[in-house]
Amino acid sequence: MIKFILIVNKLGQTRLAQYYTTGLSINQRVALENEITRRCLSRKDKECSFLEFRDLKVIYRRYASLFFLVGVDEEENELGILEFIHCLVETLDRYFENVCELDLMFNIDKAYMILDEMALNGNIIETNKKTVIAPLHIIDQVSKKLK
Amino acid sequence: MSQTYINKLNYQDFVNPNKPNYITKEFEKLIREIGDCKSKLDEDRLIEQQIIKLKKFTKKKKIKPKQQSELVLRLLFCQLLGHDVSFAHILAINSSQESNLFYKFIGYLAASIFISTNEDLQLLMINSIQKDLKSDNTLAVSIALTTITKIITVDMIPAVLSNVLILLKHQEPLIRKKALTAMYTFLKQSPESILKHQKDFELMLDDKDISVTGVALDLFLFISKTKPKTIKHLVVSFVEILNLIISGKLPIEYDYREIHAPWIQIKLLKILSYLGQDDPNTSREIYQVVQLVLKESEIGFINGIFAGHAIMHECIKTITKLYPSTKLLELASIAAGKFVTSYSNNLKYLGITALTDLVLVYPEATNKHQIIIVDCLEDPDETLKRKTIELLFRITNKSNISFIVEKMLSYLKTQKDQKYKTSLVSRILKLAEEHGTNIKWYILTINKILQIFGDLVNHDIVYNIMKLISEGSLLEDEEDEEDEDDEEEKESGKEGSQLTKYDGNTALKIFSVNIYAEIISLKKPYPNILYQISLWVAGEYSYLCTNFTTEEIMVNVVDLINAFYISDETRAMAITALTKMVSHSGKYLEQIDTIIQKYSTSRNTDIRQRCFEMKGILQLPNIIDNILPPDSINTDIEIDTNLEFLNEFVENSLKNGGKKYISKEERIKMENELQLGINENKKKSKELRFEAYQSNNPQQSSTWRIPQQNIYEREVNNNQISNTIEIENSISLKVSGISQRWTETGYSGFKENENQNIENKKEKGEEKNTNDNNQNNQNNNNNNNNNNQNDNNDNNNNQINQNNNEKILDVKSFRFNRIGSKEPILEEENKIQEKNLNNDNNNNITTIKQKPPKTEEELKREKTVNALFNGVGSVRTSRKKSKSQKVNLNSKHITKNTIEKNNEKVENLIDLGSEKN
Repeated sequence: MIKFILIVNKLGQTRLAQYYTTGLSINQRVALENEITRRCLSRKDKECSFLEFRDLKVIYRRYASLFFLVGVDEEENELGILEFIHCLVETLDRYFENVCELDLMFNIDKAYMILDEMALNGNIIETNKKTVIAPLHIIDQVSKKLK
Repeated sequence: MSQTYINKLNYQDFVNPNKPNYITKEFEKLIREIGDCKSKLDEDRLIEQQIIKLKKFTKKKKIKPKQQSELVLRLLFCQLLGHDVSFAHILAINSSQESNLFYKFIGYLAASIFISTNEDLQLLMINSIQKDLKSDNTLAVSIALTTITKIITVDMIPAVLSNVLILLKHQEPLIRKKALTAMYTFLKQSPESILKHQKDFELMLDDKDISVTGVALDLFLFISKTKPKTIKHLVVSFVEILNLIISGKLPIEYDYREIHAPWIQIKLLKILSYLGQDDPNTSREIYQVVQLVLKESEIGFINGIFAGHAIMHECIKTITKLYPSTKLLELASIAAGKFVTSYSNNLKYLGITALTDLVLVYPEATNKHQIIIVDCLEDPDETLKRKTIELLFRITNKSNISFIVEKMLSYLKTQKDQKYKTSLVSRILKLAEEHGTNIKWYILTINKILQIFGDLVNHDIVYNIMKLISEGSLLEDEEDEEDEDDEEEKESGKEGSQLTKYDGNTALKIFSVNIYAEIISLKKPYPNILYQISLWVAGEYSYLCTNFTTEEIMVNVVDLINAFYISDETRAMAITALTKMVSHSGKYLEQIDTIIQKYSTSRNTDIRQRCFEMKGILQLPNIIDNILPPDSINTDIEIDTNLEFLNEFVENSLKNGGKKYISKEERIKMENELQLGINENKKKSKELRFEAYQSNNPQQSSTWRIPQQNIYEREVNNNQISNTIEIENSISLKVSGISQRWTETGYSGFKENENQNIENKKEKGEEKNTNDNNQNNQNNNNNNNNNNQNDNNDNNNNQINQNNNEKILDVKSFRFNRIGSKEPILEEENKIQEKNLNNDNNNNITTIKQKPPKTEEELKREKTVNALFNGVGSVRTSRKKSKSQKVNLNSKHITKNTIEKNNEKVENLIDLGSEKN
């Protein structure tokens, strides 16, 4: 099961955070994010994309200036998550057409929506990019009509 | 592989972002500023300013929906960057109640993120969620369902459950899927109430849309973990779906890099592994499909995409969980081999993980890969190394132990995390203990560990090693070696031939004393624990050493004692070791004198104590062998706790008029009764009893602890206990009697007596403040006061008692303070003392220390001391005991002091009286 999905830049600033567990206060979240990001950023390219942190496994993948970090429990398939991150990036890329850090910041609502379409409750629910993006186009149409 | 995306995601390349039309200038400015922040500090400052601005806005009564949604997005950013925005959570809820879909979407999104940290908002949301679930707009329903999965709690389930159940049959796959995710949330929170509807989502397994089936599988995965028996009948369906997927009959959109729906395959494999666990029948149904999936997954290996590997890894996990099938286990171990031998660290990591599980059910799995596994320890990747260590702990056996431990130790040296290191060291020690077949190897390995990580080791290892060396045998060891390894046998052959003339135990001792003598001679700042073992072994078995002469070892030990890097505890052990060596070899070094001189004044009492012991023992050349006989750690020592050899002596002294010994228990009992009696009798008889003081017989006050009291108990009156109380009463009565002679202006006679009484009272008060225990003695004092003349002799006797007590206590503290002994011995010592005292009083025989009679008793006592020295092997326990002895001694000091004080007072009073006279 996925515990959280984080997108941070190479300076360690959070760009998107989605938690699937309750019971963490804002301060605890900030502390957790800082610690995990610090560890991931210090790792070298050749080293494996997994990190054991307390009772979690963190699976991370770097795309230029952005790091995608996913915290999972013991039984989750690490490579499955690693490929899911890639699938997520591909979906973001298809929607934003050449996605970049500022895209995610200006369209944080859309980024969250894509994530919600792909994973809920800590489970992967959809990996078909067309299906994921379809509802977003509807929202876009609505927002374009706004005065 | 992901190179293209790396370029696309580059921050520098970005010039014109997809900027939505609803973004205001202010919002854009905020985003750009956040993007420009170079540090967390800048960012915090920026957000704090932003929050002040936002607070102004939220105070406005009317905010347009557009502005509201924009404010909500800004708040979202603030929370994302770790700031509390609870003041404006209500804005998100307001926005979710807008009719426009976009505002609604923003509102729900923000609310679901805010709410996880603010539970009060949940109830405010439930109304609009209920409304939207019934909406005609598919997207509104979808958004409401998404929000449910994030904010729902147990209490809220009944409010939405019926609506969600209807939505399970919605025509849109998107809604069916989302309704199922909502059901999953309910199931997790209250499984009992949701399992009633299991039939409803069983149907969803056959949904036209595979992604709906995928979500339904999440529910079954949850059930398979908690109640596998309830869904065993579905195994066929799961196998069918899996077959369908791998045969490629799904729409092409679900393919990911030529692998068909990899994440759904993983889910299915997980469910099957839970259902087949410990169930041979179900497992048999699953074997075939797993084998097929495993075979298919290899296709994905070409592109360097991990989806195929992910499935393969899941297959290995499933196979380990299922009821064991040799064929599948073999396939799994081959697959794991592919991972381990891969170029990628990711795959290596998973290979190691897979083998760690696999090796529990199929120990042969690692046979081919041992060298690669060990190589992983040398990889710079920390995550991989830690996983490898875990695996190594599982695959260690008698044949590879020495190799693996060596590798682990070299890995341990690179570690910095103290906590992890400590746990690892203890695990390695345990491993060596469990699998080590060779005592020689074990000792050498432990030494190696102690040299580097001595500070992290539990001290129990010291006693294990001592026990092993004193009891173990090297012969069995060599037999084992012959069986196992011919080469090793040849190497040790030379040594072996030298040692054959000894029995196994002696050979082991020679071996170990050589090693430890060398460690001492190296004079390196090793951890104390290693030196402590070395010193003990050297002290016990120095005469067996073949590589060093005893003198050499002694010189090294002397150097070590003077070294700055050892602790006082080790230094004390070194002094004892030196004592042992001198007594075993009979050789003496001049440096020892210097050592004794230097450390006799050490601040550490233990060291000082041992120095004095050494000095004392070395001055008794006749009995030195009896005190520290060589190789006596395992000899049982018989202790005559009754000290029967003294019986004759006691009888003699009794015949000569000595007093009988009163045991500690009896004394305590008497004291207690006394206390009780005082309380009870205080109110009673207030008569004068002058005869009590007159019939005192001072000659017989002799028990050293509470002398005068007993006299009164027994001899003054026939009623033993109540008597002393009456004495006290009589004192007060006496005073009242005097008061009859008082007039209002003053006193008409008996001035001396009165003064004495006042003085006496003052002292009494002081004494009570200082020590409650003095009460009884105080009584004695009063008695003395009133019977000055009668007690004169008594006091003298008392003083003699005190002197003797002091001497004996000295002897005792010398003997027992450090070495420690069993409690009975101490008790008996007391007995002896008292017996002696009895004698002293009557016959003026000097104490043991002054004139040691060369009798049987003396020799036997030496034996006891000797026995105590040999008990050094159990240093710990004896330390504890010695502590309790110290306490005892202290208590004796107290009584001694009070008695002395009393005597002083009595003397003063006598002086006073004589002057007046």
